[in-house]
Amino acid sequence: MIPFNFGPDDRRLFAIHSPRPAAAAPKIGVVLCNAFGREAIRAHRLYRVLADRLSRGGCDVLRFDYFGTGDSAGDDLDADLEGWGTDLHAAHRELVKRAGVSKVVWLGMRIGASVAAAAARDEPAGLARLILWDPILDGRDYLDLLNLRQHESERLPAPEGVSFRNQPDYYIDAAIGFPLSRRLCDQVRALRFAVPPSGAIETHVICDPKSAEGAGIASACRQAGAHAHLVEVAHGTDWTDERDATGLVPAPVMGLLVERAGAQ
Amino acid sequence: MERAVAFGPDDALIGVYNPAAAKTDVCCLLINAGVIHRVGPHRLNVKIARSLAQASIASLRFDLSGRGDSRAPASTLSYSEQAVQDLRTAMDFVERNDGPKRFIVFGICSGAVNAFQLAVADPRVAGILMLDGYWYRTRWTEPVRLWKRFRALSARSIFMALRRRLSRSAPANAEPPRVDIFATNDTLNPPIPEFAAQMNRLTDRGLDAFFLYSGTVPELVSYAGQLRDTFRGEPFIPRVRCELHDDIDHTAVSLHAQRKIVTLVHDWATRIAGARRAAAA
Repeated sequence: MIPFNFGPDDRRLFAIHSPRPAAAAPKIGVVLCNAFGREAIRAHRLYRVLADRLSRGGCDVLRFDYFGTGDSAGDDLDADLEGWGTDLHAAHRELVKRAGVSKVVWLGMRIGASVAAAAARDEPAGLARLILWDPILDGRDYLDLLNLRQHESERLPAPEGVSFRNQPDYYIDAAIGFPLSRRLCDQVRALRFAVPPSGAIETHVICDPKSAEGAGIASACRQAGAHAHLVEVAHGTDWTDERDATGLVPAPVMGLLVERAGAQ
Repeated sequence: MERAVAFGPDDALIGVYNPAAAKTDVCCLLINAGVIHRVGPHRLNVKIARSLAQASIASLRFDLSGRGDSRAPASTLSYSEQAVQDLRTAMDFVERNDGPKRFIVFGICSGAVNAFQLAVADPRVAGILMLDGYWYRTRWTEPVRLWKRFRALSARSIFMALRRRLSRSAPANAEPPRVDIFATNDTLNPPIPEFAAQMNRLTDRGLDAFFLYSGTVPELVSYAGQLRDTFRGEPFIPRVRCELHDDIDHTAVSLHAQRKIVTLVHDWATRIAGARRAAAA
């Protein structure tokens, strides 16, 4: 693992490159796209293990923190989805430069899937495949969940009678301990899951059919056409639950992610 | 500017070094809280690091062996021994790259225990701030907890509790049972004579120790004077700072708690750094 910083001085990002075995020829580059806030913290271990397995399988893997998150520069309130898309493109170019790969996979979970799907519309050179795991189906419901969890974490009564669906201007300044700017809140509110148009990029969507969002994601995927590959796998992980310290690396999904990213 | 770093045997330890805005001989180590990687709960370590940098205090936040991005150790050391070895490796790394330093350490929960063990093992440590680290219950812990709980109740909640008690029924919207992550931790506190002896030795050599407690586990710590009551008469007691803040929580989930902890760490660290500068001048 090689930690490094990249990007311009006013937008320095933290990244870790997990290179392929020394003797191996360039094969596939995989950029892992983080989730947001509490979900990203919960997924950190999973991404670490996934990067190890993919690199042992011959891939070059890049993990990075978006601006205003993790170890990257920027305040929490500087975070925004469009900027994160720009960061993903920069990470993509950085991996191509470092590893010499010509074929790149973007793998994102939760809001990382939303960032990847949006940024893929620009069809950067070399992007061959998207893997979207448990994407956000509807940003309004996601914000309601974050709001509920924030209240639970602070042992406050559950918010009653307020919802991002029925109040267009509703705003929360914190999402399970992570400050949320009005701008990011509005961007998340507008999220609706859709498989990006095909172009040269094939899309694999992995979702839990038993989750609240599973059926909707599967439906959107089936409407997208032949370039969208849906895989339904029950893993039961609740990424937002502060109390649940188990299942940090859900085994049913790990092998699937490695296989879909092309390391097997 | 912050710099991603890999250090230690085979560069197995991963972290971020944050040099101070001006030359300094004080560096703060920011370490893992439980299984959370080096950024800390809700990015708290990052916020502390940036606040300290503005006050000319360098910092290194990093993952102990086997946590976050750092590789699992090849040694057969115990968890505690390995943590101390990793922290000493981190201090060596900072001094090799940025000159001799005195170190201060901020740790939460198991991180606080690691900070204390490091101070015992290495005289380069000038200060430790332990959030929800060691605690010792007294005969007043439970009465104070109950009193605080009663004081916080509204008239309506008292009425509802009485009504439930009278009808002998469980509340319809009862909270799910809490996962008590502290359930077995009493046994991790050293015996009183041993802890007193260690603290006396540490404060004799000038260690600045700050015992900070959140309001999350009043069953264990319900008032700031528990340490004083437990160790009454010990020389270290008047030399250490001990505070309980009911308005901060163990993992700083509220933004208020985050701001308050950053301020407490910042003020504590700058006081130590200022005292060192004054002594040098």
